[in-house]
Formats: sequence, C-alpha cells, structure tokens
Amino acid sequence: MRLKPSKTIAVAVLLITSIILYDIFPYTGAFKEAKAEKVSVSKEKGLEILYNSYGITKEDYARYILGAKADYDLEKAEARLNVTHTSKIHGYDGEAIGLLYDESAEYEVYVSKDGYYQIEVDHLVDGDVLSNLTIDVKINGVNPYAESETIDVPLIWEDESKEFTLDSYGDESLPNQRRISRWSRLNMFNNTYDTTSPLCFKLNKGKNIIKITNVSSGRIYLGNMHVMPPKKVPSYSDYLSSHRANSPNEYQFINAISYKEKNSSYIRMNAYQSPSVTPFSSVDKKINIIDGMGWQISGQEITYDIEVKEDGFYQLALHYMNDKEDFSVFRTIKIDGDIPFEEVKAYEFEYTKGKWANKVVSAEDSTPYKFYLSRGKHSISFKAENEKVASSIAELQFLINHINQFTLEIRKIVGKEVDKKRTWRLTKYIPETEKYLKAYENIIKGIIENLEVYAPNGKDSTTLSYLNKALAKLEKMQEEPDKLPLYYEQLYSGSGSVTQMLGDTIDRLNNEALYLDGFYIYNEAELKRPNAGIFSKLGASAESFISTFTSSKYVIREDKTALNIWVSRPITYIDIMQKMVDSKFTKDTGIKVKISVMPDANKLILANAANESPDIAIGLPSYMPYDFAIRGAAYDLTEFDDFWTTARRAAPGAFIPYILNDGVYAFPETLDFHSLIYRKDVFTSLGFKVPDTWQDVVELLPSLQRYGMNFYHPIAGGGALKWFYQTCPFIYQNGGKLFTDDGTAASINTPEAVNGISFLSQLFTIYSLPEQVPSFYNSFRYNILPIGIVDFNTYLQLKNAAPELKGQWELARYPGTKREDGKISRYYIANGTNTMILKSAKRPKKGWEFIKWWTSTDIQTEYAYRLQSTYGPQFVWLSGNIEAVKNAPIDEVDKRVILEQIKWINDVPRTPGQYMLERGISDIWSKATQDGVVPRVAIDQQTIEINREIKKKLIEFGYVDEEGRKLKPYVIRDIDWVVEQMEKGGVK
Amino acid sequence: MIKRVIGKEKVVKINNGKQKRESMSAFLLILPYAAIFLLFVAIPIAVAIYLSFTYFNVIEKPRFVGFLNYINLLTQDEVFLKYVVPNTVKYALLVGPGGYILAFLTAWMLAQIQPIPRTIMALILYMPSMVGGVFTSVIWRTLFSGDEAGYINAILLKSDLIDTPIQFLISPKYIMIIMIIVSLWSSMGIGFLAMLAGILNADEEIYEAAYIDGIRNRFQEIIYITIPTMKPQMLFGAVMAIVGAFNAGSIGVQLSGSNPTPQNAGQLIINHIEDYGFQRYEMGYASAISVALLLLVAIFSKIAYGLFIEKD
Repeated sequence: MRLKPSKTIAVAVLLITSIILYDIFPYTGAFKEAKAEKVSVSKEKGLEILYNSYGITKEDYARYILGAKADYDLEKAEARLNVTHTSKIHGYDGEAIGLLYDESAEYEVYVSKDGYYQIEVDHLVDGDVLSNLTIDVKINGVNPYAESETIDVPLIWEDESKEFTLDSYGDESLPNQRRISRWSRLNMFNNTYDTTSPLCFKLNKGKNIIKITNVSSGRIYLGNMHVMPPKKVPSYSDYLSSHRANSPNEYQFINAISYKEKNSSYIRMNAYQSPSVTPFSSVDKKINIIDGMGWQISGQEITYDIEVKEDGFYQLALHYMNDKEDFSVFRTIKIDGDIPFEEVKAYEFEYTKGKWANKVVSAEDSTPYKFYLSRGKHSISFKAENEKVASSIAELQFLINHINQFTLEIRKIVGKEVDKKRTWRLTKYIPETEKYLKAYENIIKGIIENLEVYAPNGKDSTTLSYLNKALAKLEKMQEEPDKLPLYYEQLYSGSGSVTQMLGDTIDRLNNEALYLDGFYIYNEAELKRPNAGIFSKLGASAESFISTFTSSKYVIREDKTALNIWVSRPITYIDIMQKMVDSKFTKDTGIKVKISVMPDANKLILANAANESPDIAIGLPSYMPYDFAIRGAAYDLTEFDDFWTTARRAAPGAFIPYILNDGVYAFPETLDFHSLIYRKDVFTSLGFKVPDTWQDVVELLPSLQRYGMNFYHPIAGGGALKWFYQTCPFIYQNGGKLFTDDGTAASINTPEAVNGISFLSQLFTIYSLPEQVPSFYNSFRYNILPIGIVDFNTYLQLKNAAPELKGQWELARYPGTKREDGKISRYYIANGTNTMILKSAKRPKKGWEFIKWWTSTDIQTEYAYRLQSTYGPQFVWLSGNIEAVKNAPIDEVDKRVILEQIKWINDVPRTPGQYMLERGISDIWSKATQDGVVPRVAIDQQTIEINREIKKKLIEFGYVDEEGRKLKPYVIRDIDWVVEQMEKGGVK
Repeated sequence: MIKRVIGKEKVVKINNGKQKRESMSAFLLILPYAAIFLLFVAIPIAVAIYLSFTYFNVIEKPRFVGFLNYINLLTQDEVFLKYVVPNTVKYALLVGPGGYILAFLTAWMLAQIQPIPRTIMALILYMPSMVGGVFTSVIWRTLFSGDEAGYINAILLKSDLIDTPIQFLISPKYIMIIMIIVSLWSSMGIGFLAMLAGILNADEEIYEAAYIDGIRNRFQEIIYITIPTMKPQMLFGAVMAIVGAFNAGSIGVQLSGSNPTPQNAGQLIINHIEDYGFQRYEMGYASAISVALLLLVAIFSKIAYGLFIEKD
C-alpha cells in the first residue's frame, strides 16, 4: 500500500506540529498535593517490633535528637584547646594543632545550660591532600551517635582557569582543578550529609570535653572551637517582613560553568551536545553544563559570584535537567553562605523526563520566592541534599540488617543442607517469623507512602519499583511462613532477593543528580525557553552531520615526530590520558605524544617482529617485560641515572619480575592487592573472630563448616592451571624461595618451601576448602563463603555491584604465617601492569621523561580522580605509585588495609624457564589434592623436570653450555636487593 | 600441394590460436584457486617447513639449526612422547571414527523419517558444531563445574552417590573423558550433512532390485547398498573427521581453562604447538611439531582414501 502524497504531507505536518507543541509547552512538573510527611502508624509499629531484636539497635542521629526541642537561646561558648604542643600556624592568629592519622585534640568547654549545641571549629587542610578528610568527634569520651564517628571535612576546589584549552581535536578540554587552602569554620556534617543543618551535640551544664580525632590520612590543622546554639532559619514570611525593598528591574543569566568554587572535585563540567544549552557549537564540543553524573552525592556544593546594581528583592530560576527516573532531586540554596529562609532548605527539583526545564524557585502555589540582595557582590550556592529521603534510606538499611540476622537464625535451625522433604514448622522454632514478615511488609509500605510524594507517578515510580517487587515477595512468603526454610534465600541472598532489591533502592534514592546549565536572577521578565525549538535542533543536527564530511577533526594521522605510545587498555582510559598529556606533559616539555590503543598486549610481540613497535608500551601484564628483556628487545631503564631514585615511588616487590641481572626493564604502573574479606553480619552473629594467621583460619574452619559455610582461597578460582599468585604465597610466608640464587635450579625442595606447599594442599585435603569456586563474588553474596581472599577486581565488584551488602563486610589483612622470630609474615604474590621502553625506541630519553611524568604522584592522583569523576565510582585506579594510592579516592578504612597489605607485595623473579616452575607447582597441587600423592614426593618428581627445562632455556640464551658450565653470570634478585638499590640510588 | 600446405598452415594457425585461448581460459579458471592455495596454504606451509629448521624466538631473527628441532622432538621432549602423542592418538581414534560412525548412524536414522521432522532434527544435531568452542565450553563447564553449583555434581550429591563434589575439570582422571564426550556431542558437522544428503540421494530402484536379489534385512541394506552408493560422501565425511580430530585442541584448554591442561592429561598436539609457539616463544620448534602434525594428517587421510575411493 502506498500513501497518497497529500496524506503523507498531512501526517508529516501533524507529527511536526505535535513535536513543536510539546516543545513550546514543556513539562512543568506534575501536580502535587500537600507534602506534609504522612506518618504511617503501621510502619512505626513495625519498626518498634524490630528494634532491639537480635541486638540490632539504631543508635543514629535521628534517635539521638528524637523529641529534643531546638533551643535557640543557648549561650555561645569558646572552647579551649587542651594540649601543650600547640603551634603558631602561618595565617592564623590563634593557637592551632596539626593532626595526622589517629592523632587527636581535646577541647574543654564550659556551657551555662544543658542543651543541644552546634560545634564549629576553625580548620585548615594541608595543600597536598586531595581526598576529603574524616574526623571523629567524641563528647566526654563517647561518640554520642554513629554519625559522629565519620564527620566529613570537605576540601574546596576551583578551576585553574576559566579559559578552556582546546585538545588535539579542537574540542574544549576540562581545566585543571586547584585546591583552595584557607582557614575556615568547619560545620559538623556526617559524610553522608543526611541532614541539611549541621549535627548537634548534647552538652551538659559545666565542663565538657570534646575530643576530635583525625581518622584519615592527610594533616588537618585545628584552631579555635566555637560552641553555639543551633542556627535559626527564618520562615519565608519572617524573611519577607525583615527586609523592606522593592523589586528593581533585572535580568541576568549566570552560566553554570562560571562557578567560583566547589566542595568536591567530583563536581565537573561537561560538553552537552544540544542547542538547548549555552554555549553550544554543533561541530566542536563546548563545555557548557555542570554534569549531573558528578553532582549527585548529598553534600556536594557549588558556589557562584553574582552582582546586582540595586538593593532589592530578586527572583531566582534555574535552567536544569533531572534524569532520576520519576523522582525529584533536592538542592539547598544559600546566599552568602547562609540559608535565607526555611523553604529553600532541600528545595525540590522535579523529574524533567530527559529534557531541560526552567524552575522558578517558588512556593507551592507557584508564587516565586523573592530573595533580598543588597547592592554589590554576593555569593550563591547550591548544595545537593538527601534529607527528605534520608530517613527512608536509614529505615531500608535497618531492614536489610534485620533480614540478614533473621535469615542467619533460620540458617542456624535448618543447618547445612535444607531438607526439602521435611515438613517444616518454622514458627515453632522462631515464633516471631510471622510478626517479622508482617513488620517488613508494613515498613516497606510506609516507606513507599513517604516517598511517593516526590514521584510524579506516585507509587508506580520507576525508582520505587523494586520496593513494590519486594512487597509482592513478602506477601507471598506470609502465605506459608512455616515453609520459609525452603526458600529463605529469596529473603537475603543474591540477585532478586528482598535485601538486594532494598539495597538497589537505597542506591537509587541516594542519587541526587542534577544537570545545571545556569540560573537567572531576574524580575518580571520572560525566561528563555528551556529547550531549543525543533528547527534549531534539526539545524544543529544537520550542521554536525555535514561537518562529518567537511571537517577532518577526528582523522588519525601518523605522526613521525611524536613519541609513540601504545596502551593496552580500553579507549575510555586512554581518552583521559591523552587529554592530560596534551594539557600538561606536552605543554611543559614540548614533547608531542601520540597514544594508541593496543587491543591485545601480545600484539606488541608481533609488531616488534615486524619492526613497527612503538617507543613505549603501557599497561602490559607483569610477565611480558622479562620475555622482551631476555631476547634483547627491552630497554634497560637503569641506564638512566635517576632510575633508582625514581623507583622509590613504587613498591619494591613490584620490580622483581622486571629484573634481569642488574638491569630493570619495566616500571610498575598499577598494583594489585590481596586481602581478607569477611562478612561482618555473619561474624558478629555467630561470634567468630577474624583470623589473623593461617593457624586462626584452620581453627575457624570447623565452626564455619558446621553452618555449611567455608573459606575461599584464590586457588579455587580460575582454570585448572594454577598461577604463582595462587600457589606460592605460602612458600614466601614460610621463608622459602622459588629459585636458587644463581637461577639454575628451582628451590622448591627446601624444607621451608615444602612446608608451604604441604600446607597449601592440606587446606584442601584435610580442612576441605572448596577446590573450585566459579565466582567468589556470588558465593560471598549468597553467604556460602562468608570469608575469603579477594583481589582488587572482586573487591570492586562487591563494592559496587552488591548493594545489599553495603556496610556488611570489611577488609582485613591477608592471613600470615607466624615465623620463628614471632613475627607474622604476610607476603602475597600479585602485580599490576607496567610500562616499558622498547629497545627499538627512537626516543628512549623522551620516553623515560614520559614514564617519570606518568608515574609521578600528582599525575597518578589526578588520573585516579579524573577517571572516577568522569566515569563513576567503579572506575578505581590503583596506582603503582604508593603516595598516589594514599591520596586515591578509595574508602579510608579499606585504604588503610590496602596500604598495609601493599608493603607485603612480593612478585616472583623471572628466569628463562619460570613457566615450567609455575606449571610444576600447579601440578604438584593437583597431584596432592586430586591423586592423593604426598606433596614431598610430588615435589621431588616435578623438581627434576623443572630443572631440566630451566637448564635447556639457560643454554638457549647462552648462560650455560651443554655440560652445565657457566658462560655468563645469572643472578636472581630478591626484594632486599631492590630495597638496597633504592636506598643507595643505584650507584653500582 | 602449395594450396594444401597453405591450408595446413592456416589450420595450424587456427589451432594455435584456439589452443592459446583454451590454455588461457584454463589458466584463468585455475588462477583464483591457485592464488588462494598459494597464499593461504602453500606459502604458509613452506614457511612453516623453513622455520622448523631454525631457532626462532619471535623477537630475534631466525637462526638455521638444521634437524635439531626434529631430533629434540623425538629424543628430548618428554611431554610430547609421554602425554601428547598417546593423548592425541587416543582422542583421534575415539573421536574420529567414533564421531564418524555416530554421524553416519544418525544420518541414516534421520533419512528414515518424514522430511519436516528430519530437517528440524538435522538442524538440532548440526547446531553444536555451529556454535563454536566458547559457547560449548560455557555449557559444559557449567555442567561439570567442580562445586555444588555444577549440574552433574549437584545431581550426584542430591542422590547421595558422592559426598564431596568431583573435580571434573581439574582432576587429570576425568578431563580426557569429558573432552571426548563433548567432542562427540559436537561431531555432527558438515560431514554429517554430506552423509545425510548421500543417503537421501540413493536410488530407490537399487534397493528394490536388491530385495529382489535376496537382501533380507536393513543391516544388509546398509552394508551392501547404502554405503557403496554413497562412497564420495563417506570419503568426505572421513577426511573431515580425521582432520577435525587431529586439529582439535581448543576443547581441553577451554574446559580446564588453561594450557597446559592439568598434569598434561588432556594435552593434544595443537595445545603443544600453541604452548611452544606462544608461551615459550620457540616458534622454530613449534613449526617442527606442526610439520609433524601435517604428516600425520596426510597419512591418515591417505588411508581414508584407500578405503573409500572409487577404484575404476
């Protein structure tokens, strides 16, 4: 069937008009009823039932101030620093004290009245700190509530320049961010910023001791402390009546990118490709908005300078976009650092359905609020808030904790394997079962009721969909609570379970993303349309389409003069790297750099054979440089005089696989760590102690296995061939070595090494650890293996993809082996990627300059931050530079463990035949565990074969001749040698 | 005479032109094949044979060493003689003829049923060989996984036949058997389709004639008629099976997740070549092994030709 031309035109016209109409009458926000928080009686009852069962109490701030009345008439007081070693800090006129990790300062304060006070303290953070600090506040020796253990100390950032430099494609690139280090008053907020007002502390009449401890790396200076009553924020009507002015004519648009400062380096600008925002170019990327992806965490604040010519009342409107599905986000508006009136605390910004919208800051009845500004300069800030949903989040978290404990109780009853044929009467053993399930249901219903006022679709909002699904599951369970043991996994483990859905909801609710193009300060004026018209959109698309033919901006040209670098990493990583190189390295040194993606590191070998290799290769696996070095294809980095002094920035153990005799052929770029991970909920509920040594692990196993749980050793992961990192940590921990010092033979038959290998096989033959675990991540979530050893990747997976386990697990140090001298050896084998200069490089000196620049602390730190702020928190960069790890945006508690563990990294030295040793040890393990061969026997058999291969390879490379006579020296270097070289700077 | 001579000359001339044109067209017809054969078969084989006489570590230039690689292969390489050759022969004998017989039997059985279910069944049987190694290993690794989550282990544990999971993919005792099972499962490849076509193409009249001549049962039918009439397809199937069996190697590595397989229990020649070529960077030696493999395949193919070729 063909449409008649007239019909086609009619359809087209209809379509276009409907699009235009939609554009002219944009989404204005759904109608809403009064938003007074409904208090669901059944929810409160449900919570009451759950409180205090299983010893779960909720000692949080909300409980702490429950029923307390804000007393604005309390007297101010100054606290006295209670230490002797204070010092004068430049730029501060009082006494101050500097605190490093775990150091604390005590203040003494006298107040005239009992009451809830706010505390402010003068503080300064040293210039080289990059991640927010955390402090712990104790009142008279105790933490009044959980939130006081992690008080956030934000850092203030600004852009180095507002002139955006162009990258090699002609697009604007983000400017560098610079820290502003200055004395300022610190308001006490928990690092989740669940409250809009600073936290209050109850002080007794008379003397109080306030103790502040720094619980993060990086120095904080503390000065005077001010104790004061809670700040009173007036209501809008009081605010209006306290100022007397008219509304002068005004219309100004302040672009979001012109901000003065921000309190998080994650807040960043971006180039949004649409004519709805300004500035815009359809060909080149112009930076034009504040990206919501970087401005989504509660507490993130961004500040602008504004200027008005007359005293008076002004209106405020924001040009923004909210893409949180069917849900509002919140921002607090501050003028000159203070909230002008109650109504703009956590002000609501509705969902915009993927379009831009103008939001006039106004009352419920859409009369715009008037902000009083005196003539001259002011600052205006927008701060992300989640106070309105915080109580729901806290309740959900509480629910997850409770469900976890409840299911553990069920597990204690049903034992190792659930007997499917048995007629279960769970309510006989746990009489509360029905009560709990009902309470869960009521609480979730109540939470939905509280939240649906912020969702245009009410309870059908996408953001709340998981809660509805969880409800359906709980209703089903209540039909036959006795049979719960048959499917109790649906409550608490893995995908699709109730806890997982609650956890996902928490993640969704916590997201406060808001995209900002700019805001208006105006009176009685028509605002610009929020979205560009259909024609200008079409025009822009056409223009950018045509430019793909005419402009050659993305054409890749071979550059003979540039330093060629191949990186074995996805393009996302390389993009940021190239930008940093362009804006810093090339700018400072004048060396042009061309970075290309190398999809497979093995390509380097083939390219080398074809004589087309780059100058530098980056992101190589740790086994590779040695293979190049022994065949004369890698550049010896020790030829550069400053190699060993530069090497000090990396972990000594990481260099070992790159060493051939006295030469070092690669530089560590990233690291890996192994550490213990365990589920706190299980360990507290079953009363287990976290093991510190392998002896402890062995002692823990019987009790774990009684509950059908077990311990995960990484040898159970991966394929059938077990690598060094899986098999050999015990050899090192027992003081053994893998090779003899001259590299001509394996030394796995020494008593120390035999001990190590035997213990490894005993773990499986005697203590029955699981021999194969396809995915520890899943087993950990399902609570089959509540404890085990994780590497960096699994850690990230659990951190980011197991929302139901948030806060339920912890890292601990890798279990060690107690040595004769009583010390615990915690060696582990791991390594990250490295960077190498090829022998055929045309510009080795420039290459070394680049490596030094790339592995430097500043650059690595910045790279880590940029990656995260561009792509999200799951992009964690574990740099090979240890100082950069200290600065890295990783949770402080985890970072402590990681830093402690990195000291014990000890990779395996390479020799020409080392792959045979690797296979040999793997086969020993397999023989011992699968065929029941005594490890000692298996070791002896394998050693002969390994040594033969090593000798063959040494002959191949001309180190010994057929008769075994040494032709040239071959020396195995260990961690001590590396440390020694680093100390003396490599003077041979 | 002169006329005749002239005429003859003319004829010769014409013949010359015709011959040239004919040879030209023969040349053109053979050119695509020859070019592709040279480029993708002859030259690589020649290079492999050349490399097999050198020491070549991929990075440095090849160095001529004579027959050293072959001598080492036969005298020094313990793994090759102790595991690789026996494994390969065992695997090839079971999977080659085994898969071949299986393919023939299923093809014959399918030929007996109606066209529509036949097509569906043929497609189902052909599927495994289409989906490729990665998919195969995903399915079978799940089935044979060495924890309670593996289906086979779960069934055995549930029915109380075992009390700890069997390490099918780690233990050297099981890996070979599993490799053979999986290979047989996926052996209904192109050879199977050819045989199915061959059986369906057989002339009905021959069968009728045979029954008149006194054939008594279906078995005799297969032996005396079906197989002889489809010799070309049988040959094709046989060659495919042999080449397939010897060149298989990925399955063990994919199942166990590593090369070498645990304690070399599932090590085949192809794995051995990859091990030397891409893990130990001894390309010269790897080339020598692949030349040996080439010879093996050639010999067995010759035997297949001897069995099935039409002797006329």
